[in-house]
Amino acid sequence: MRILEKHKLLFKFFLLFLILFIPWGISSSSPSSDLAFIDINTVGMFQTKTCEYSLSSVIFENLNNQELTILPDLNSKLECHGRINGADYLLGEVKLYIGTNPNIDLLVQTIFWLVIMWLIPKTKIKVFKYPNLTSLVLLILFYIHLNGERNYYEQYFRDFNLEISFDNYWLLSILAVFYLSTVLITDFISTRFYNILNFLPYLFLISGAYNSFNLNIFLLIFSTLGIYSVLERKVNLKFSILYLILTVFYQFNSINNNVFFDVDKLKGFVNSSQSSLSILFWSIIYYLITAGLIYVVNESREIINLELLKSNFLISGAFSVFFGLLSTINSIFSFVTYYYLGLNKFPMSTLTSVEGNTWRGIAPSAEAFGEFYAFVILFTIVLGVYLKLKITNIQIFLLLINLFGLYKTNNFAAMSMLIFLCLILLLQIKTRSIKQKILGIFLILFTGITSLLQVSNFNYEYSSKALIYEGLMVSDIEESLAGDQWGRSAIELANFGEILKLDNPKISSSLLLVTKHYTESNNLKFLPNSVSLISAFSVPINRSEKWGIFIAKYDPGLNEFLFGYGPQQIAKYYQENLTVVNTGLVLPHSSLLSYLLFFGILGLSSFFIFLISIIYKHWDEKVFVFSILYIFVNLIKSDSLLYLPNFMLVVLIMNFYKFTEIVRDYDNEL
Amino acid sequence: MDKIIKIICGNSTIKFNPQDIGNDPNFVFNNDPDFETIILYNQEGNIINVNSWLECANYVNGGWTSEVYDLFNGEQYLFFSILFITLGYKVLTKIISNNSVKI
Repeated sequence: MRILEKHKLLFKFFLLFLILFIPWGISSSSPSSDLAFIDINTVGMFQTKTCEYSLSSVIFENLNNQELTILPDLNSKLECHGRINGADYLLGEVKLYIGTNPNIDLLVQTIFWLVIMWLIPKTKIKVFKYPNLTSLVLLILFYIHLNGERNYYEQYFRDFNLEISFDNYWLLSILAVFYLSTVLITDFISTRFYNILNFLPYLFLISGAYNSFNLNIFLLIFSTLGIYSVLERKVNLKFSILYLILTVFYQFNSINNNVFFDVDKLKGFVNSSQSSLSILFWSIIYYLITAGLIYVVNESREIINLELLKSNFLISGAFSVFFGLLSTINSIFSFVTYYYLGLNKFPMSTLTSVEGNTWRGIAPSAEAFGEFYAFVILFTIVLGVYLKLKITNIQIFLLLINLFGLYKTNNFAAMSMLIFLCLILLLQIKTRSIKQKILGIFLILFTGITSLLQVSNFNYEYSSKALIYEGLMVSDIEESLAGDQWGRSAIELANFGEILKLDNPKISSSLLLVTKHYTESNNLKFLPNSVSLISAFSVPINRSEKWGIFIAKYDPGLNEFLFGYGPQQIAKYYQENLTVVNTGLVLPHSSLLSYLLFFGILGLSSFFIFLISIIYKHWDEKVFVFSILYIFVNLIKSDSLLYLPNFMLVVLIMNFYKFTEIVRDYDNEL
Repeated sequence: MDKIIKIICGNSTIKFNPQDIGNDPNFVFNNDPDFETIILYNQEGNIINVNSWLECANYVNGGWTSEVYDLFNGEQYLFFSILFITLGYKVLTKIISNNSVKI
């Protein structure tokens, strides 16, 4: 035991090494060296001899094989985990399927991530009450999750069977692995509790999404913390009761519909079904992870190390760029990165944009990570200015890598907001008079908006109608409308009143409401119609089409409009009111719209009131104010809140004033 | 065994009694046109196609299996291994924490 204590770090790296190689190295035989290079001539052998050769037996011969794409075969038997389970030759490319078994995935990925987390320095131990009860609650939640999203799992798991019996070893083993994971997680959080926040930025490096499950390790970690916060009564009671009522409402309002929604890049943080059990699971989990993070913030606010937090943001951003670049080298790196960093989606295989999609590296979304890189830069600068945290030479180097990441992800909104806030910051430092400050802000805004309008060739006549036009274009109503003598429909002519004259227009309730408001409302003199205004706003930021599609699809009843479908519920919105755009994952492209789906207009309004009140209350905490302004302007046009790391970042930023207040108090005392 | 037969061969109203078949040396399995042919394997790697539920049940009862229900039940080994590891880990952490309290 003493030897283990002495060489702890070495032991951890040895364990990491084992977990990296063992799952892919066990096989009964290896192909002969002349057959191990995989191309059109040898692919047949891998097609017939499935589950025979391990991935490691062909790695070295294929390090430079640019024709090879390695993909997981999620439907694999336990003994075929890590072995070549199939191959295809398609358009000059060989697709090699490596068997991955859910039970092994859960075990290997959890242990790998926890060993990495064990590298975080220990803090004083936080003793939690009822750890066994917490594990049991999580186990029950996990079972509810598997039951609620059975359509997702039945697609991938060959032996999926949730019958509780002593000879159903598939379920017993998966529950046992899950229970072990909860035990290890409890151990981790109790020994490193006060360091969790300092190392939270690494969520952007290790995404933590399981290969075979619609789950994420950080969901489990923060749910565990959430349960502890409830048990220790460290939650806001009024809010919790209100949320409980909402959860009951979502249960009663849901139609138990076992549909399958392909979560794709949202894996691990969005419901794949509409079943009552899945809605119950996500409602509880959403509450627990939020409560868990706030609990950590409140408990460790006095010992947070902002210098360390800043460094970790910079390192995490730089490493995510590095792994993004590494994954482009070959498919083996790409597969390993995907599996061990727990990516929601395979990393980009090239350095350039593909089919109009911006380079995103290891991220599921270029937009979400662009936002992150810009935030890291802003955070470093703001901390330097307001809290006098110096930027070292290494940090300048890391900043440049983050800047490169921002450049590659091409997030124009994040870049603009970063420049805008840096100019405001400069104004804050350089000018003392309020008049000069206001004039400066006005000039910056005026220049920014004018440039944007110039770049986008802004035309108010078109832009004020663009949203409704795009919405109607993807709605299935063209046939019901008579055209003019040149065959142009009422939509193309922007005669939206014609659509309202139809007896039963096949358009969503939200599109009908918006069209009515645009066409029939009595406008006040000199004040533009609110729909026109939003529409005109959406054009220069390139959102008229996406938001138009959202309005065309969003078809809530009164209850759903007021209270939403429930947290992380997209399936109903996505599948209920079909439009012309039904293929692929067409997201709302605005986190505000996503939250309108989840919590309805009342939830969204309450959230805004809360947000404005905390900004007003903590206006002097400039690190908090700059961060929150930056993130919320970006959320208007991005889906970031649908990704777990970005969601956690937003919750963290909303609590920033708790840390900076304390840092300021320390400074004042000194 | 009934459960394994159900998993591999599917549901049927036919009552399967292995002795009926074993005691009749002239027993012939009739093809069922409604039954989708199932491929079964034995431990020596031999393959057989079965064309009726009764034939399938008979072979499964004799130790043949399909890919769906494997000869090697890895999950069973995994379950007991994890159970053992979990218990071991719990005991070990308990001992370590007791020792550190004493110190």
